[in-house]
Amino acid sequence: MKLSFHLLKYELLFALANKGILLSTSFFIILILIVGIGFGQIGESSEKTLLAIIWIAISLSSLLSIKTMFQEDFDDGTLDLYILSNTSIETIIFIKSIVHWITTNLPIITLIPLISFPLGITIYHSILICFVMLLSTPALSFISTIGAALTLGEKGGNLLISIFILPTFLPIIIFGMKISLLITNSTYDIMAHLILFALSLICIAITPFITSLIIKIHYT
Amino acid sequence: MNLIGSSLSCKRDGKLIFSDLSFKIKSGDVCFIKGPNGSGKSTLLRLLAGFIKVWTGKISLNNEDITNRNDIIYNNFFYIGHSNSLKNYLTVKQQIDFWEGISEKKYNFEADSFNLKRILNRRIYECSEGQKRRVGLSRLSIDNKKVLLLDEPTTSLDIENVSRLKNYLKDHQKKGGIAIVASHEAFISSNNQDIILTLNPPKNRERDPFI
Repeated sequence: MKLSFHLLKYELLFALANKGILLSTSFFIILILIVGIGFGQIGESSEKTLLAIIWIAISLSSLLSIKTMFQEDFDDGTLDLYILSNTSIETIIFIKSIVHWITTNLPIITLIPLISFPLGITIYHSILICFVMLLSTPALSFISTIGAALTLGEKGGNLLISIFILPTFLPIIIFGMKISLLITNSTYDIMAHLILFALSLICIAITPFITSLIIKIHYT
Repeated sequence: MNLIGSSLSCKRDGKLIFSDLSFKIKSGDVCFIKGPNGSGKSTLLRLLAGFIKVWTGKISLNNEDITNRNDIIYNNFFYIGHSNSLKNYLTVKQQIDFWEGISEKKYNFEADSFNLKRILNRRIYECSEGQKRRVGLSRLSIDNKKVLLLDEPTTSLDIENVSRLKNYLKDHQKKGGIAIVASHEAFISSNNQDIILTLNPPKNRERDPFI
């Protein structure tokens, strides 16, 4: 446990030093602005399209800094050290995914009430949507580790990751979008919430094992 | 303690890197791996560290077969590769703290085998290559394992620090440990007891059509 906190502390430090946090949040804001302005020209920017933009933007920006997750450790030899250490790779992947979530998705989620207010979504609704995103976005971070592991050692693997991983975000986006729409209509469907939460938990439980398998295969 | 490799061979991407390699190393031995560039020195070390699978042959530690048994390898073997496993934006002190936390052991600042006291507050990117190597090697004295696998440990070290490394390896020898060092330079060879393992690249290193 002590070791996990030690790793969490240093992984956070590494992630903050990489400035991925600035990259993903500014990408998110720019994407929302551009698409919002684009839709504004048609004059049909309803709440529904804005919600869709938010969900697309959050899934794209969570993939932005994923390539460095293992690549940097692989290049400087820290991954060798992790593999030879007493901790299991699964633990390290779990911690890395949590750190990725804290440094990319969490700042974006906190921005959503600020962004959605000028776009015409009430504060109350946007806070509820934030809550839904808090439940669902860990799955995005955990799934994208698979892409990061698959493209380990590949140059320019960022595009490859998007091709592999974006389709797997679909269930999360479908349910997340559905719930968000229900929220803006002031209706609630507890089943949809439960399914979304279950999807997220399944991803958290399974992906560290898949990712560690890929990394082990990559090494041997 | 003894480490025996019998008729080892290794393939990487379908290419034969080395074949039919045998060695026997016992407690207190330092083994030097020599050979021209590309002869598979680093590959042999990574193979012993469990990163690469053995193609044919057997490795045994204390008469127990440890071929591809990563659990035993991880408990007994210590590997330092070409890269120093350093993070540019940490200070030397943070870097050592990071390793101490992972291996749950402490760096002995009183002995300070690699003379780090003076550069503790320096960031890694401010260090020279030699200083980086010293910080990288300081992992040796944090996590003391029985079998050391060192890949070109003397790269960019000055004479004084090479002798520090020598002293460290001699201490390790006295404690009954094993060290396997890949090096172009013969930096302990004055001592005739060292084992020298010479690797020659196979003559027909062609791609296996079936892989």
